[in-house]
Amino acid sequence: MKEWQQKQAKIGRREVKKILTNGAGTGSSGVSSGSGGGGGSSGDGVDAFARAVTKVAVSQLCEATGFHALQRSAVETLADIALRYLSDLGKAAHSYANLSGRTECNALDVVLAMEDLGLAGAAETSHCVSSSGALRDVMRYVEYAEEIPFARPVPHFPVSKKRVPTPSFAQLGETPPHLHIPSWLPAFPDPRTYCQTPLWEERKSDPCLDKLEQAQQCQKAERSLSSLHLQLSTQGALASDGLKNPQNLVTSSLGDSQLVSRQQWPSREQDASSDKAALEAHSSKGKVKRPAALAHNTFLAPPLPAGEKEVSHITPYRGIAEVDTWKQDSAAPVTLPSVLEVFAPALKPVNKGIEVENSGSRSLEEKPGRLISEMKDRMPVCLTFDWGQKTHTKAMAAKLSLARTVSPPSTKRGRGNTLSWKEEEKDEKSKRAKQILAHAMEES
Amino acid sequence: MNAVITHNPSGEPTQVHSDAALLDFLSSLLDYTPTIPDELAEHYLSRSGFQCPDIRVTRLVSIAAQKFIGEIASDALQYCKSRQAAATKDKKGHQHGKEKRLVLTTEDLSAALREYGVNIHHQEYFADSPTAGTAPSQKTGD
Repeated sequence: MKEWQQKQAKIGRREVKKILTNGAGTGSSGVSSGSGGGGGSSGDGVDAFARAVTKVAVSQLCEATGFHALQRSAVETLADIALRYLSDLGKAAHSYANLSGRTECNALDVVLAMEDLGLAGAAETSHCVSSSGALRDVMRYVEYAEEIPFARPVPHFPVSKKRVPTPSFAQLGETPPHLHIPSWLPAFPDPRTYCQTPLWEERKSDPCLDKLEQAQQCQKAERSLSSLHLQLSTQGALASDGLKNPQNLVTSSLGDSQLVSRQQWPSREQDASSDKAALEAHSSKGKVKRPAALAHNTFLAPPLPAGEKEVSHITPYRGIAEVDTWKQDSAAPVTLPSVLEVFAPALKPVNKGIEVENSGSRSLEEKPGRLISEMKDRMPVCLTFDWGQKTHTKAMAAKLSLARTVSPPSTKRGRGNTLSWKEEEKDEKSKRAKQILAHAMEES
Repeated sequence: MNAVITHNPSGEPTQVHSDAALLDFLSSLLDYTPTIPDELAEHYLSRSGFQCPDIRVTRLVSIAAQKFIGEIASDALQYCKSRQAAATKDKKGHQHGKEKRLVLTTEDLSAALREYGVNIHHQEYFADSPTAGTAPSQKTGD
């Protein structure tokens, strides 16, 4: 004991040790040694809650008695004593009930237990329980003492989780699977929860179908590629000729592959060879086609000067029409276009050059103003920003200075057939300067 | 009253009377709300094996506990008051306002509880020498 105390001292805690020895209740103290509120040692949540409630009740009682404040240790001690008294009383009453052959206690058992525990009226010699001194004291207490209800409503504790039992066979209205199982027993769970079921690995996809799908995808890709080629070569009539054959080849080869796939792929070499052939044909066609396509790429081509527009749309539509008609009846023999048509896209730049030359020569004779208007047509976007008077005048001055540096456009025009971008830009700038000047004049 | 009951030669009429009083008292408990909540009393009573469906009996138990605590508290209050009176006598009215405050201390409580058979004292505190801790324990013990 001393060692333990020294240990406690070493830890440095100074705790109030409460030794509760109930001298009055000697009759039942042997039974009640284990339970009761022992020094707040229990880690149980129910006990903690009960102790907290008890502390509140005890402090309420102390307040009613006339105390202004309470020491914490005193409250703990009083709560311990209250809980101990409750459980001791319960035990004594229970033992009295058991003594008279009952399991449930009644008021007389409680009165007897109070006589055992209580101090007043302990020397009662009357054998009448209902007129004992302890009971009379309690009656007087109820009569005269102030009624202090507990500060808050207390929920019923401990809260126990209700377990829902499994319904029996009879409740479910089922008949037990075997004769020896009575119907009041809980029903079996679903068979799938305890029966072993074989697990087959299901194949979602057939390899043959996969190959087929792959081939179709390939075909789609080819088709889109060919359509792209078609788009690129819309200008030339001969482009249609270049497109017809590869597409035809590709479709035929894919048709072959489909057929082959249905026959469980007996020979892949055949398919591969056909593909190869298609590729070769494609590449050979591509060689012919590529320059034409390049030449007719509207994005790569140099900008068209004025007057080119009327010329450009003559040739292409015939080609497209031809392609369309060919698409409609693919079985019909292919009519090869003439050599001139085939090389039309390649020839185009040359034509263009000639036209540019023409326009240039034309522009020589004409006024520069008209050229500017043509340029205006050419320029798709013309952005004018209005940032107020100051910036406006500044911009005007800048434009004027620019215009001064730029030599008259007509001379530039006459210099050559090839129009450089810089010159165009300068023309445009001067034009804008003029516009701004005119605008400023109008404003002023 | 003790004398009346015990020395009555014909005990039966008084017994009937006291039985009726007990029944009245029990029925009056239905309207009484004790400070110790019924739930708390039920919990601890069920722990100790007490089984009773009657709420009045449970209330009787909790009222008994309440009375017990109340008596202890009033005794402690008397101890506290007497201690304060002694202190004010010594100091001759130096700090009247401060001493009026009534605080339930463990010393008063232990003095009050000793009458009810509950022995309470501080744990011995050993500072550095084995003899140092013996003095306070003797003090609290007496």
